[in-house]
Formats: sequence, C-alpha cells, structure tokens
Amino acid sequence: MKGEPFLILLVEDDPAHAEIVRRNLEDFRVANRIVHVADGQAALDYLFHEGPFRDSPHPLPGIVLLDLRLPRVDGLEVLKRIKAAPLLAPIPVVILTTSAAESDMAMAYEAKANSYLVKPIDLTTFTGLLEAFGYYWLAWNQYPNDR
Amino acid sequence: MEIMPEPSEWPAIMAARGRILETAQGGTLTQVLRATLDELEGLTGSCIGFFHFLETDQKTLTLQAWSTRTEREFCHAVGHGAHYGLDEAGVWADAVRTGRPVLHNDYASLPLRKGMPEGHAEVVREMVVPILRGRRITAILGLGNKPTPYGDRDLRVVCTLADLAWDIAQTKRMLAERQAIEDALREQEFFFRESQRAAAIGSYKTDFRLGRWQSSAVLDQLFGIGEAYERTVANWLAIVHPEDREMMAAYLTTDVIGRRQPFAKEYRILRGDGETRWVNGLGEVTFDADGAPLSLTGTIQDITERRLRDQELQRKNEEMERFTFMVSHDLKGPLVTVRTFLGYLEQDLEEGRAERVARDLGFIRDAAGRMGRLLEDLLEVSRVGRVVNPPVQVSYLDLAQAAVASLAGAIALRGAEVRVEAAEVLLTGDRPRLEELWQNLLENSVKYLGDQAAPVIELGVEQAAGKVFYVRDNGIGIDPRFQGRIFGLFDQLDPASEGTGLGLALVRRIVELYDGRIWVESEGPGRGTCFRFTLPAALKHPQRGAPS
Repeated sequence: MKGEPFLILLVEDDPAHAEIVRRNLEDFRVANRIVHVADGQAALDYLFHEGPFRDSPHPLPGIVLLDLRLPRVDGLEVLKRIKAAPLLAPIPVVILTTSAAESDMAMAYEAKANSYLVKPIDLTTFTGLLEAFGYYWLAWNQYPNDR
Repeated sequence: MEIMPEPSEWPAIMAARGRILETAQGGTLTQVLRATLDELEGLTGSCIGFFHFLETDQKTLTLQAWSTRTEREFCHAVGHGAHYGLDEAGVWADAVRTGRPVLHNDYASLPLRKGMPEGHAEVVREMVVPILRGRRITAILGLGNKPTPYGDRDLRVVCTLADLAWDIAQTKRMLAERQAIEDALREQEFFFRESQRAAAIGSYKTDFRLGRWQSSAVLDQLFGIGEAYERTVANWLAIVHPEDREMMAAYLTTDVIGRRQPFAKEYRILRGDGETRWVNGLGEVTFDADGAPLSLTGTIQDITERRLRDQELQRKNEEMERFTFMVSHDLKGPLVTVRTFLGYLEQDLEEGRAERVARDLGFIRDAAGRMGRLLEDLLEVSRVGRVVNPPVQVSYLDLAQAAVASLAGAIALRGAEVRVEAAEVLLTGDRPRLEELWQNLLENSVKYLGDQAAPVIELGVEQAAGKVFYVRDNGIGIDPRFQGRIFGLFDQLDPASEGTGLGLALVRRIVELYDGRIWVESEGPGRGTCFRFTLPAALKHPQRGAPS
C-alpha cells in the first residue's frame, strides 16, 4: 500500500444523494475520505485553491464524483475546467447524475469524462452501483505513484 | 378601285360624313360603324346594314356592327364579335371572294344561297362592298332590303362613306390598342411596385465596370438611403453591419465572383438611423467573354421579423429542452431520494437503528415536499397566459402594497426595511397575475438579502422612460456571468436557498404576457440587485363607454 488513501471529491447539490453515496461507501469500509461540495463553483474553488479554499493546505482528490446539474457553475463546465488544467486533467472524473439523456452523455464524454453513471431509482441497484464503483475505481484501478 | 360620287351626290354625302365624324369624337368604334350604317341606310333607303372586319388571315370575318334598325327589327341571330369562316359564309361574302362590290337584287333566286340562321333577317336584296387598303381587303360593308333594286348611285355613296368609316375605325382601333398596352404596362408596373413594397423586397443592379449600382424605391427605403447616396460597391459595404462587413466582402469576391456562385446570403445591415435590420440578398452575376464580372442583378428582402420569430422560437425550444432536462433531473432527483431512503428505512427499522430511521424519514419528507412544490410551481407557470382572469384596473401602488403585506412575516423575520414609492400608475390586467409578479420579485429580494446588516428593499416606478417599474435591494447581488440565466426555468443559482427556481421564470412569463421586458442589474456579488421591467400592454386602458 502506498501511504494515505486518496481523497474522493463528491460534487453533489442534493444533500440526500450525497448522504446515499457517503453511507454506501462507509458500509463498504472504504478508507478513502470523502470531501463533499454542493455546487460547481465550490468544486472549482476546492480544486484550484481559490475563494474560501485559497489558504487551505488540502491535497488534490484522487477521483471526482461529479453531478451534472449543479447551481452556479454546472457539472459540464467543472469537467471542462478540470480537463483543461494540466495538473488536474489526469484525475478520473466519474459523472453521477439523474440524467440519462443521450445529449448529456455525449457532451460529458466529449469533455473527457472518464465514466458516466446514472443514479438508479432504488436502494439495491444504487448500492450495487456504488459497490462496483468502489471496487473498480478505489480498489482495482491503478494509478501512478506520484499521486 | 376608285369610285367617285357625282357632283349632285356630294352635299348629302358631306352632311352624312360630318355627322359620322361628330360621332367619332368620343364615340366608340362600334358607335362610329353603327352611325355609318345608319347614314347609309338613310341615303340608300335600305332596311339592313352590317359591317365585318376581315382578319389578316383573309379567311375570317368578324361582325363589328349592325345598323340600329337591323339590330332592333331584324336580326337576333348573331351578335357583335361573331366569327365566320369565309368557307361557310353565304353569298353575302362574295365581295371578299371576288374583291369587288357585289349586288344581289333578287336574293331569293340565287343558286348558291345558303339558308339563313334562325332569327336572321329575311334578305330580299343586298349590296356588299369590300374595303381595300392596298391590295388587301380589310372589311366589308353591306346593306340590304332596299325596296327598289340597288344601282350605281348606291354603290358610289356606299363606297365613299365605307372608306371614311374604315379610316376612322382604323384610327380608333390603333388608339385603343395603344391604350390597352399602356394600361397593361401601367398595371404591371403597379403590381411590381406594390409586391416589392408588400414583401419588402427591393431590387438592384450593379454594373461592375462603372462600379455602381441602381436601386428600386423599396430598396432605398430598406437601406435608409436617399437619391443623393453614392451607390458604389464600397458604399454598399458601408451599409452592411460592421460585424458582417468583412464576411460579406469576402463572400462577394470569393464565392459570387470568384466561384461564380449565385448570390444568396442573409446578413445584417446597419442603417443611417442606427437601426439594424436582417436582409436576405439574392442575385446573379453576368461575366464577359474574358471572365470579368459585368453586372450583379438581384433582390434584397427585409427578413428582420422572420429572424426575430426564429430567435423567439429557438428560445422557446431551448426552454422546452430545459424543461425535459428538469423532468429528468429535478423530478427524478427527489424520486431517487424517496425510493433509496425507503430502502434504508426498512434496513434501519430491522436493525433497530433509531437515529438513522429519523434521518431517513427526514430525507424522504424533504424530497416529497420538494416534488410537491415543483409540481405546484410547474402548474403555476403553465397557467400564465392560459388561465386569464377578466381584466380590471388596479394601481401600481395597490399591487406593491399587496406584495409587501403578503410577505410581511418574512420581511419582519429578516428585519428588512421596505420602501414603496407612492406613485400613481394605473394598470389594466389580470389582477392576481400582476400581484404575483410583484410578490415574486419582492420574495426574491427578501430571500437574497444575505448577511446585509441594514437590508433595504425599494419598490417604485421610473416615470421618465415610458414607465419602468423596479424592485431593488442591497442584498447579495448577482454575478454578471449568471445574469442571463436567472429567468430560465429551474435555474437556481444558490443551492442553499429554498424554492424550486421557478419564481423568476414565472415573473418573466407574466411580464411577456403584457408585451414587456424584464432585466436585472447588479454590479456583482454583494452589491445588491435591481430588477427593472415594463408592462406596455397593461398601460393601455379600454375606452370607457366606447361602443364595442
């Protein structure tokens, strides 16, 4: 194992949905710490150490779980800004949204999303999805050492 | 053939000629011919008179006139303008066949005589003379049923006056034709001009060798230029909107002249009076043998209204798309919450985790409440313009004060000072809708006061520029980047605030219902917000007591 497990940045405006993600990952005993922000601007401020996070010494997240429909700055814009910044671009961004719209998926992949997940409407499926997410991105997926 | 009357016959002929010429003054062709036939009937003692033109094919006879008496007493068989083929015509047409005057003093005994049509005058005796111009027969004039046989005197009189009648007829015919052509031209010109005007289509012709163009009156009006405007190619580009100028110059030289494509482009013009209009330019270039452009001829149509409608349609379509997005997110979101936390609730009840049960229920309650509010607001937005209360007169002051009263609790809770300008402006419209307008704007201000220590909200109206209403606060303000978004459906900028994001969409729909405009002014976060709006249609009042 290499040091501390990386941070998960959860960008989610619906507190209930954030709670679902948090509970599931806790139930799987995921060691990664979750940082939750509720809108696109807060996510950018966190990632770019700006605004309220200017003087915060926090490390960059190892993965971003990003909702698309967000107040202030929407998810697609956050995604584009991440992928346009050399330091942030390698961070996998997993879209987690209620929208199953073809156009949203196309735009997200166009903007270099690493994965696109649609929120299921029942607990069992939601749990299954987050379990798979945890195994894949947090346990199996390999990342370079310097993270 | 020249048949000259005897000197003794001249006075009667000259008198008749005078009367015929009198009729010719202002009379129609038929009237002149009829007068001639009437005179000749009198001079020869005939009871029937007719005049036919021989068409240029020399085969078709066209009836031009009966004498007054013939029409009244004898002949009901054929009318003016009837055609006869020479082949079918009876002995009366022998004058055409022979080219000489024909006298039939005993008509009944003629062997080649054909039967008379039903209603045709009974003919006992006839005289028909051809009228010649050069070697061509142009018409025939016939008389009939003289009580005594026709003789040389009759022939002399008839030939003389028939010639005169033909000359007058010819002049009349030419004048009439010229008039008809002139009328048709004038009509075409009128239709052309009017259709240009109606369709707002102007036309132009550019001569590349002279480097100048000519334009129709409609185009001048569309371009906003006068007679004196120097019509050079550069000056056409000067009328093109600055933002489209480079593109249009390249289009003309590269595509239209270079690649010989027809001119077909929608572009903007900026007129001298500062007005921007959209036009559709069409045209074609001609080239000389060396491939140099000669001229560009075409039309330019004002399509501003259509462009505006397209833009409006596009805006509506986008709103519709956002609506679909909303259904897939804003309604699905709470549903995900309800169903997922019902699952948690079951687990937590089984495992007896009381503190989690309470949290689960809280999430479910919030989500269900949010769905309810969304549905209510959606219905409200869709009701604007669909459900209309009868228009009443209400003053701006009443509406502003009603809004303050309805939000008194929230205002007091926040400790805000609300100032309502005591202006007298009368509005006519759907009162509940207008109340909703002020209420939603005021509610929005109260909600976004932020941590302002001395919050103030002002409601008023600027009388100067056609009545602009405003709701202004010194709250959190709006980042200029987001100012365009706030009136859209479900665009909520602040995630922490209550509400569904439909309030301002509703406000905009109400304003638009009264042909108005609403915009937001804010210097940025923390600098306060001012909503300004107009309601032109609500300022028009029906005339009291006017007949409906």
